[in-house]
Amino acid sequence: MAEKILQVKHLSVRVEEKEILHGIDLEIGRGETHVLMGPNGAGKSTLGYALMGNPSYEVTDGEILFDGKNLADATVAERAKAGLFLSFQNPLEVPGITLSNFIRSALEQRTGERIRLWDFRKELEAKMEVLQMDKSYAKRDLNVGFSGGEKKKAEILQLLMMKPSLAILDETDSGLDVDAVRTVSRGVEEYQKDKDGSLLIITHSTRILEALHVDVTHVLVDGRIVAEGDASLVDEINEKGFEQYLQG
Amino acid sequence: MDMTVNRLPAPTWNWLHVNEGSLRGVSVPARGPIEMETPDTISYSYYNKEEKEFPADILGAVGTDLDALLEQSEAGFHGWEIAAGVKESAPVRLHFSYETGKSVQNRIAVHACENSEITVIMDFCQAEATDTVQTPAVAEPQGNFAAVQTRICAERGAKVHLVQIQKLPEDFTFLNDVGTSCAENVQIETTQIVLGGGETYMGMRTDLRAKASSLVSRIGYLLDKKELLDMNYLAVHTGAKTTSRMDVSGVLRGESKKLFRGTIDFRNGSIGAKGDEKEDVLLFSEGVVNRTVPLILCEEEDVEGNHGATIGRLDEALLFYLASRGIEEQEIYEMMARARIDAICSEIRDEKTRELVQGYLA
Repeated sequence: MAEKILQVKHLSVRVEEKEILHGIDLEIGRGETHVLMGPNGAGKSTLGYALMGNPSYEVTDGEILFDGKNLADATVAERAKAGLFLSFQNPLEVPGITLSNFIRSALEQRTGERIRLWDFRKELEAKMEVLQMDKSYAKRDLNVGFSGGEKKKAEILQLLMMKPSLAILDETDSGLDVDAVRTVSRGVEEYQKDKDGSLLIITHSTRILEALHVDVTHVLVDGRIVAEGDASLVDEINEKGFEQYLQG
Repeated sequence: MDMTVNRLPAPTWNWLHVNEGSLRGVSVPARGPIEMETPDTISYSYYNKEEKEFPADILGAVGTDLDALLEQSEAGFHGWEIAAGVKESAPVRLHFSYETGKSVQNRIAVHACENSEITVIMDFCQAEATDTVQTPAVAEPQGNFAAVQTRICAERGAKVHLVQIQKLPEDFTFLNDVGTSCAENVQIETTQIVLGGGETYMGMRTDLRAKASSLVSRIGYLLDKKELLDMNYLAVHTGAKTTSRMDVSGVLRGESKKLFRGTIDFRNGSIGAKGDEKEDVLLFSEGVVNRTVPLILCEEEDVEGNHGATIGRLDEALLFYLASRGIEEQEIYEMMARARIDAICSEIRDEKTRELVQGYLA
């Protein structure tokens, strides 16, 4: 059995006055790919934000252990430095900071060391090629004026450059055409190969999963995990939808 | 003498304390130090006071008290002229290195003849202890004070880019006054970056006198501790289809204070003119004071004036996004502050000056 990179124990999360997640238990082993599926409003993104430590999401019960360490008091940046990564559903635009400078600054912050520009550029360009991104995007302000597809590619580019131990992909395939989903999937595959990275893929569709090997599938409905299984559960949901869980 | 500076062209309520700035007990400054590099295609002369008058028909925006103060000085002025049709890509570089305990002034006149192109780059900094001053001061009044007056006369079709970089210490008072007169089809571009100075009073008046002349003015600043930046910017549109744009972007930290007066004045004859002013201020602490006075004056109907401002702290969603990449909050603010200056710095076409700014930021 794979060593656990993430252990979520009886996690409850409140946003403003409303409890969204009720006693979630979840474990992800190193190198494993987990899928979190569920209908709209089930609390999937809330789990992603809570794991990443968004201060607007208050943990009211339970604990999150990452690589064996309790994240209760860890800031967002500390979680990222520890090896946790969240790919955003709607990446924000950051005027004045280029994609390239942003990634380099983030890497330097994580390691506390200066990164040689030549080596960095070489690696960045190689990863951009995998994602079929025009090199000019590196010099453009982060996400400013990017199409939906380019924003998602920029997220995966950051994933590939930062090489976290666990990546949470929040609806990375939403709003993408078939070709873009394929490209993003290729990037995710590259991450798995490169780093033996673990993945928690949050989605309510299955397009991004077609090219990936899935180890465990979790179904989240109304803030509770109502079903778990292997990759065949993805196919089942594909065929029958979430109705059976909603009725249950 | 006591001085009133940066007077708002149309005063508002006194209790708002934005109508003007004031300085007390300013002594008459001596002729200040200046190191210069002038391309061969551009002529340079120093004019003694008796020899030639500093252009009085081109007005600045700091005000007449500054004119009166500098008139009392024995110093003359430095003049540069670029001949008609000459387009010089190499800049005139003027380096002002101020010694502690001195009160100094410089007057600069730039004459861009028809269809010429000229770039003038000025940087204002504190002298190293070992610096030798090229031009000896005539007198040595006490005080960390400097004033620079720049007057630009741009003839038809001329293009002028003025770049000013300021990095002065916290106990320094600096007055920077720019006045420009624009004939038909003139393009004036100014880029000013303030990275330090105890009390800085900046004024710029651009007279867009003739058809289709234009101004693009960019100002960037990083203020900290108890620094004050008091600005008075005035675009006077007299010519038809003239355009002006003022982009002001900066960061306030500590207990710093900033006041920006931005006036677009559409006078009779400015049919079809357009003026925009845009401000973006990032506040880093509770102790800062940020004041903005946008003013649009109209004597013509067929004109368009716009003002927009974004003022505040960083959005929480943005902070979360950047922090999720492992960047600590303090560093995020530093990055965003730097991004503002970088964006303005990237408009400077001279690499040496861009490096100077990056060096100051490092």
